[in-house]
Amino acid sequence: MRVLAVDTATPYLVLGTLEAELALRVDRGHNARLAEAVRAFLGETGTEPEALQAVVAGQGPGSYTGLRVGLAFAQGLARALGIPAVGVDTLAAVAARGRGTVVPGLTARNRQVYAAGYRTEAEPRLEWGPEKLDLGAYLARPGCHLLDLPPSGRALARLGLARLRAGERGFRPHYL
Amino acid sequence: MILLGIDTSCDDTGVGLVADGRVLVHRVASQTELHAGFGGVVPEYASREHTRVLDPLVAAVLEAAGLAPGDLDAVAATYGPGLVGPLLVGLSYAKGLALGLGVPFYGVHHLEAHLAAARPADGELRPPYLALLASGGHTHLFDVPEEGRYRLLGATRDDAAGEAFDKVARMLGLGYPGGPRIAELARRGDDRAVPFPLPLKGQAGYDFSFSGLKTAAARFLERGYPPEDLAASFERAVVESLVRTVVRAARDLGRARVVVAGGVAANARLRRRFAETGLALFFPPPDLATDNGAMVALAAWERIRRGQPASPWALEATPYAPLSHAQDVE
Repeated sequence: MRVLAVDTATPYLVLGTLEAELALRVDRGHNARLAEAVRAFLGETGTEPEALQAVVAGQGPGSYTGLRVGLAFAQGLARALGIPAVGVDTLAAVAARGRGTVVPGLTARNRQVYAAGYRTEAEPRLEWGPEKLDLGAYLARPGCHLLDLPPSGRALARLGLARLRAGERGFRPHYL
Repeated sequence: MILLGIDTSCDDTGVGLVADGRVLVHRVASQTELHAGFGGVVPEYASREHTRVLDPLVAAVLEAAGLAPGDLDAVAATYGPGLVGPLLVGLSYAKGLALGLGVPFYGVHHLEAHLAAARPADGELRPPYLALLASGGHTHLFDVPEEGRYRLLGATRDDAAGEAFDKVARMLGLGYPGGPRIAELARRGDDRAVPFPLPLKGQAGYDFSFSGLKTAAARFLERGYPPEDLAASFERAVVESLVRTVVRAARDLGRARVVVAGGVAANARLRRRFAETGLALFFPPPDLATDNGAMVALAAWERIRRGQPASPWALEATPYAPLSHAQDVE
């Protein structure tokens, strides 16, 4: 199945398919970079947009404007192609980078960390959270801490596909 | 040629379809109720609402026109000026839609879109002409010496005309949006009963100023002037200021035609008063006077007709964007 995943919830612009992924540090430049990056990424992977069968978007937690750029773009793309769109928790796709007990976190305002606990075997399984913690409290949670890493584009595509197969559709954005 | 236009510059989600310069369908999802309790637009809530409403609205507009996404030849969205969060929703959605369809994407200046809504489709309006844009967010007077070129003659130094209507309406307990509420009350009042000053009387330029009228309204209200007289006299003062400034500019520059666009263009007294001036007037159809998506598609259609290129995928949302720069973003 040809799936394109997009995540703009962090300072990175993350794209993924089941086979390939790309993470660019863009800070606040998501809108300016996204469309061109998608075209280049699809071209690189030899995929015509019309060959796509689903669109996945990271639904945060993330900054207000950044997060919405990806969600709105994914909605427009899905509407154009008449294909389903579904959201995936950004932290789950970060947790997919680790193994065992993983504690992904994204820096929020007021020196707090938006974090969740996952047990990652084949796929990350949520154990607690997401919740806002002080940095100290975050680091005191047991497990492998993945702080401010971009989500994995391939994991986004994979997790999104699983949600689609479970009959889920649409986004539940999670703003920091 | 079929174009879809999106406007999410403020608190309304507008989507419209235009075929060869003719409006097929357009819908506006208003957020007025959402923001009513806050006394103004809350940008973050507006952005969330656009994200929730835009895609279903696009689907509904296409369905109402009996079209599929694949029938679209281009997609257009407002890139500014406006609230950045809301603008980004429409802009990002439009880019995704255009990229998926493999059609060009046009970023449109909000004020150029308002002007496009007031220009008749048959090409009856030829430059040179003046363009007055008066809404809740803008009061600008432009000279348009040739198609697509805009020279700013004057603008408000403080409140926009529509904003002044909103503020005085709130003072009178009339609610939002203020323009229609004040016009309604003014019909029962004496428009000469309250001695409002004419703003910027005797100025050499073509600027506007409405905050003095607002302050005066508060003072007159305290002194016990009846609300209907206050509404009528205030409305007259705003209209006189707009019309006299435009008439003076038209005389000075030798212009005979005037486009009046923006929400305030719907005001009946303004239309009546302009009709007395002898200028050839062009107003938008009433349903296209306030923010909507069709006007964005109309502006993109004009650009296509002039042979101007599509916008770059990297086009940014901009909170402040002078219309004189509208042509630089292609």
